[in-house]
Amino acid sequence: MVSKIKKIASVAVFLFIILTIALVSYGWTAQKAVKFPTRNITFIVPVSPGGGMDMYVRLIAPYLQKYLPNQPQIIIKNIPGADKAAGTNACLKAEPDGYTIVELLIPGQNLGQMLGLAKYDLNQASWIGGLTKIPNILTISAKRPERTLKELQQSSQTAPLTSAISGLNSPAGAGSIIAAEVLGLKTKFIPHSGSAPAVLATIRGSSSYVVQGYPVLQSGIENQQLIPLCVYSDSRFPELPDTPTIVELGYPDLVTPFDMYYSVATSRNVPDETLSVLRAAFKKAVEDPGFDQAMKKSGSYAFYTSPEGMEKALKKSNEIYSKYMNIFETHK
Amino acid sequence: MTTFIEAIANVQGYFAWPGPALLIAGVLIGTLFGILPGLSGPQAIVLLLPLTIGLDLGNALVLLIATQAGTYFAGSLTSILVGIPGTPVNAATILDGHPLARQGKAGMAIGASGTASALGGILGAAFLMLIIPFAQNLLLAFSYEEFFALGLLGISLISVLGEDKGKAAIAACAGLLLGTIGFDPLVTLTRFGFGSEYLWDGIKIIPASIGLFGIAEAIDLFLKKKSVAEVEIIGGLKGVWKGIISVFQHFSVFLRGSLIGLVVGIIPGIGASVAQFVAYAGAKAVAKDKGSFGKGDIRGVIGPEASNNAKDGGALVPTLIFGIPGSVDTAILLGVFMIHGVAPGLKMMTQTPEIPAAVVMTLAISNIVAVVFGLSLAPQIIKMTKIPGSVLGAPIMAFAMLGAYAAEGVFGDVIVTFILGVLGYYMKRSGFSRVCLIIGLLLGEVVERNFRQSFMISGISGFFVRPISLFLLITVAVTIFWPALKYFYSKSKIREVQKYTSEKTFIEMLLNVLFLAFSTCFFVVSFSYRWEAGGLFPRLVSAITIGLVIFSFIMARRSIRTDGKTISGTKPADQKTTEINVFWAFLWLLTLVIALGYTNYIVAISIFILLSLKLYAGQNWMRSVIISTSAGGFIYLIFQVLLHTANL
Repeated sequence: MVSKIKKIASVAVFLFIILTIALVSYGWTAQKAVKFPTRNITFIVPVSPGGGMDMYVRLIAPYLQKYLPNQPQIIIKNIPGADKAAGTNACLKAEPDGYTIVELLIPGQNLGQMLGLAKYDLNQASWIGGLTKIPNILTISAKRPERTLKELQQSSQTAPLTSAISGLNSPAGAGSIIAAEVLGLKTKFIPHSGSAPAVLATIRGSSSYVVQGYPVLQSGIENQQLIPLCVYSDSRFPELPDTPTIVELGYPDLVTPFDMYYSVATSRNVPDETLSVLRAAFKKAVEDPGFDQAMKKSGSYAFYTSPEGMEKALKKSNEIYSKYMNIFETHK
Repeated sequence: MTTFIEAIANVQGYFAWPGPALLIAGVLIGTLFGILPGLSGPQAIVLLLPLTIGLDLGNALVLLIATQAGTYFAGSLTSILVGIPGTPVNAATILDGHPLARQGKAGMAIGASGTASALGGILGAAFLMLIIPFAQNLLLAFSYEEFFALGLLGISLISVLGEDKGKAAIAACAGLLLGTIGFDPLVTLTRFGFGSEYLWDGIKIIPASIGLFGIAEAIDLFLKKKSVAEVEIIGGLKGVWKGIISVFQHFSVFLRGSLIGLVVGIIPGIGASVAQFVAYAGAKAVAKDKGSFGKGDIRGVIGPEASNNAKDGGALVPTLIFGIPGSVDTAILLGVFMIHGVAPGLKMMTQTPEIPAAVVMTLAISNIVAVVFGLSLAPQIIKMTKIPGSVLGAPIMAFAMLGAYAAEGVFGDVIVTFILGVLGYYMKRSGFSRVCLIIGLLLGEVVERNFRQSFMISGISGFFVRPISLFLLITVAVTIFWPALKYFYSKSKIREVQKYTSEKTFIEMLLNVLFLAFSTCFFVVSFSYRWEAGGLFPRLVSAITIGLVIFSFIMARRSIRTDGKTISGTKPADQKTTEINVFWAFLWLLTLVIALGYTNYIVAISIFILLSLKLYAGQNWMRSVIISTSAGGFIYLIFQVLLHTANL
């Protein structure tokens, strides 16, 4: 009996203490910071460690710290979950004081929202800017005979192709579906859980072609397991000078769905003066030659996009996606 | 590729100063992260990433691989001593390692785990070295059909687990159903998500393994009040030495475990945690006397621990050959290569063979260093198994919950841990195999996804025209039907073994009702998905589960009738108080869960430990305050200062 009373008492005491602490801590957070930045800044990466999205944040962080007033520590925090929704919301719903910023991938994340999959609202975000822009590359399995896009278009008429994509809600996946429509490539899309298995399936020959960013294709291209047919960009890709762009091949409309902007944003309600501090420091960080060098070393490059530029890119991408929304539905 | 073999011999350049210092530092950090539940390789190497940018590639790789390798054996210490998985890949070690600790043989379990880990690691490294020249062709020979068949083979191993095949099958089916929860990229929808954002990612391995295995053991210890070791511990190096010898006595178990680790590791996309459970099942499958498994059989430690360390050798194959990572750890490692301007792939293998050679050597050496270090600690740390359960129980529960929470800082993980903890506790008591459930959970996705991808490309015929796939499928059929045949022929004998005690039957009935409700729910909801768009698999599995549960009801009724016992009424008096105590223990744990959700986790855990020590274990205030504040301080240092895993 005594032990039972003890247990009830312990639960009661416990709950009481928790309540007190919750109230006190609420009081603390209610205080507002006056200058910016006076403490550490949390940089959220909405995916697991490893992979391009994570790597770019790790490369930019020291430069961002260098150019921010007071040189605050930049704490990189991976919040994966629900296809970037958990991390994105963790920033957009955080205290709008500018101390929490998040990396976003456009296009792609806007599609998640348009398809009703992702429960975040990009309209609640204010852009800080873009740090790089990576084109997608169409590569076919070396086991296939075609060596140009035209040949691939022709042979798809007689025997439909297969293409491994990393999910309909990924930029490369959605882009591939749009491109197949525009290019007249008769394709059956096989979704995979990520870009790595999709590329591997194409090297193996289970899939006829795959569209991805350069880093994950690099090894396959270098070893002639994958043949690049075109770059979805308006200028040639430095590492593949002999591969034509999709604009050269006569399809300029196909640049937008594939131009992947790795960008940084924060909550819409962050005060203007704080936002301008962040934006100015970010611009200097991306334009620092040291950052570009670090990016080049890892097979990429620095490419600054202004907040207005990001706004424009998002709008353009939204327009394209809404145009093809009915096709996405049939692939679901 | 001869250049690669030559490079192995000339690799010493990578181990010039500060290489050895980094290797030891890495192993030490890995050991700390391995011991703490919830923290494992990925968190440790992410923490070290900023440091590696300043190092040259060779040193960076030495540091990170040593760190990763250090976590596995260290994790097994936690699994053996307190019954919580130290890292997600040490969960299977609990099954026999922890019972050994209870018998005072923690030293032996640690010795066996260490030796199996070190040798497994070396075997993995040697395999990596030997296979690199052929790996490309080998990997490309495996397509969806083969992955499907391999997954099915893993699942079919459950037919050897569990005394009661029916219950094992029910548990596995429940695991398969749990595995269907989450976002399905093939149809772009979240199945069985019930509108929850958390369920998008499905049931994750860390909360599942901590709940099913860790919480179940912690509750047991908490209630028992006695120390982990129920008898006098076999202390010092004597016990450890016995464990080391046991690996050589059961060398085939070790080899099989390592081989399973290598095969599972090499397949991209199959979680690293699968290997240990398949290796456990493999060890049990071929054992003539299966009865001692789960009660402290050293073979149940050797198999999984060998597979853990061997699997890294396999997992590095796709990363080094194709530049394609198969797991989070290898993805981070790939990032390190890229940051240093090296793109892994065949080109790297031929142009700079000293890099993969350094990887192989580091893997082998750091495994040995980690184990030597861990084993030297063993005689001291096994003494903790003498601490009374009433004192040790609450901190262990708290650290288990913290482990579930710390992995990603998501409160949903804590809830899943608690729910699966309750389930695991009762499954353990009523003889439902938890290993079957978790194998189902982990492999269900592999099987279903590859089946559907293959079906999309080549229809059903693909499975039977590809020789490797066909061979694997025949093996699956044999694995499933062989025990079934044996079972039916020796039915009467087995029936005698299954003595139903009324208490066991009651919990079993309750669990059966639960599984029935659960599978019926899945069956109904699965009709909202078209059969070809993700509906077929859950519909099929839930229908089978319903069938199995109903069959088991009928069997239970029959056996009760023949035993002349009824379900209710024969419980001894002290049984009742135990049930109430279990209820209180879970309620107390639930208070911690709620506290973790609504207040700062460091404070919640400190207060939880303080009150448990003072009010439950009857310690004086002074000691309770000292223990709980030092626990809080430790958590603050590690999680807040070092890792920044704070809930914003």
